[in-house]
Amino acid sequence: MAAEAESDDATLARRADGGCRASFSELASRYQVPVVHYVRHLAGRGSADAEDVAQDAVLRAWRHIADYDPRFAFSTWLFTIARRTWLNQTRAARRRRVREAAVAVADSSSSAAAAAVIATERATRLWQVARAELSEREFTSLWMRYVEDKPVAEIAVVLAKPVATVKVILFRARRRLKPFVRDLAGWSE
Amino acid sequence: MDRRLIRRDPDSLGDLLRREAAGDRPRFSQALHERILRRLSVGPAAGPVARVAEPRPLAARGWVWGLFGSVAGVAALALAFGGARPDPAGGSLPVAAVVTIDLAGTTVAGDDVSPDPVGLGIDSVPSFDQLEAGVREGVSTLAATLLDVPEWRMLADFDAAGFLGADVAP
Repeated sequence: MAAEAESDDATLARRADGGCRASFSELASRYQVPVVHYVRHLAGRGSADAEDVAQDAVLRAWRHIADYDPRFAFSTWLFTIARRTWLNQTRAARRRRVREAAVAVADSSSSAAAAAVIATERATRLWQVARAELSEREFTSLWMRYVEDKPVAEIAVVLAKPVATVKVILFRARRRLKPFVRDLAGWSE
Repeated sequence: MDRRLIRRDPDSLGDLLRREAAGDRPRFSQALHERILRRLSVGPAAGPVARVAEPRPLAARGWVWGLFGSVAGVAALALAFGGARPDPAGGSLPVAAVVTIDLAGTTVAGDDVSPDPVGLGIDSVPSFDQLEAGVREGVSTLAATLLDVPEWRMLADFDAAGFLGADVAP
């Protein structure tokens, strides 16, 4: 029992805060897959990009492990950093894209684009539709809720939004995805 | 995929999302882990940095941008009084004040996404959006404050040129 307690995330984080690299390495290995998985879908690009973001996020977490608040799950903190790392890295590119082709960008988030994803991709098509159709916040809230099984309070930490706002975001995201679920169901029959 | 299940089960969307994500879960990458471990032991990421301050909520930073905006607003007012005397008979607000109010009424445009590095150990500088929003917030606060002061309306009759030219030495 003691060994089990010793290996929980908060304990490892506390040890890492004291400079224990092995403890942080254990944390990094525990959450490598979930973070890469999330960022890969968030970024909608190759896994190499997602791994770069995950690596940056983990290194930032290591440098600032003292700021970790053990009232929340370590994974929540790490997801928060990963999300913001990705947002920071893509900010410049996104703005440049908006400047150069505002219309094209608008089209890429349209229902037509989502329908094209449905037609061409079978694997994880619903998440691709979600990424194409939803805002980043809506996508992240859905991912945290249904893939990571995070409670709303923890999603609120990731999004830096009040709990009530997160509930609204989740509600909207589900409502906007519903029509595509019907399409996918009919398509796969 | 069973369409009837989707219609009957109110949480079917969640089930679908879980299932699809599970089917696409990546495998643990030993190469990535080793890369991270190498970075942990060398370079700027070689060790945790000491905590310099408690994490602050986003609102706690407002005073910085508010102060910045207030300074900008005061500078604008000084320019108005120094550069052009208000019409004493017109009763209208000085140009800078009008500009200030106009700025305050402008909606901050931009991305929906606003990364907040504070308290999360993300060492990046504030974005342009944050600076701009802070300036606007500060200017807005200053304008609202000035308009709430009854004497402000009397400033239209204020003899700025006379005041500046007067001998104010003790």
